[in-house]
Amino acid sequence: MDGRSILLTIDSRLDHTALAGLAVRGLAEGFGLDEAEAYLMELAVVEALSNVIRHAYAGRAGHPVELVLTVGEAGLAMELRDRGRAMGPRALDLAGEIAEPRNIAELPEGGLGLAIIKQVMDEVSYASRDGVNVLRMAKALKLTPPREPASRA
Amino acid sequence: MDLSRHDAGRVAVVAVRAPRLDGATAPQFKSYMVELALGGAGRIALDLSGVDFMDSIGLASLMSSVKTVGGKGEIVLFGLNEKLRKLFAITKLDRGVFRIFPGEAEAVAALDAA
Repeated sequence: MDGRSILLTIDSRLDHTALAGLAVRGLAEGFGLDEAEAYLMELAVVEALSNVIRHAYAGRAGHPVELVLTVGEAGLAMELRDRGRAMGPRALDLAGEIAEPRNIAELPEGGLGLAIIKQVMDEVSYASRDGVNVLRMAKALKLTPPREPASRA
Repeated sequence: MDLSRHDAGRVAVVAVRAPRLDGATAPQFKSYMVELALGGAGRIALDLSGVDFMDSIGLASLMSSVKTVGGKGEIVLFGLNEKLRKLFAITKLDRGVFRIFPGEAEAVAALDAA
């Protein structure tokens, strides 16, 4: 995606995912998204990071996870890079539509994260090459750069 | 994370005072709820008005609480902000699994009638 980017690095700890989430929220709100839209972007990045921490790094702290946020005319793109255990090639495909649970026994114990990401974002792709795993998420959004107050309501 | 409880008749009202119910705070919430359920509380109204952000790990802790309560009772929710309502809608957990009420009075009345 064309646009301006920022690179953030956070440690692989679940109690640090809020840092990235709040950064995304701040960026999204700064570019004119309303609270609910900004929340969905924050949610997607927190879900993606939690997956990396819990699965790629098996919950172990001490591994840097990189997050590149790009804002442009097409919207917002978020790219997560880690060097942990790769997801299975079909993991993204298998995380499908979220089914309506009919009773308590059917409640999902986990695995909701990827399904939420797919539901919230327009594009989600995953690749693992030379030991680096890249999850790319993009959402078409009408962003209003903070420097153009004339176009803001 | 600050969790507090008061009883309204047969209903235990639990207030969650934590800006985020996520991977960092969900374990503490889950043990609190499991202890509450194992201690005999079956009708639980959960006040989420103090929670600003919640993710799937927060949801999972809520769902294991529901499983612990099992057929002996019900956990209902109230005080959700727009963001939390969105999360429950996306995950379809607002369709039958959780009854969601605007405030404590409605939540307690629903559990009293159950």
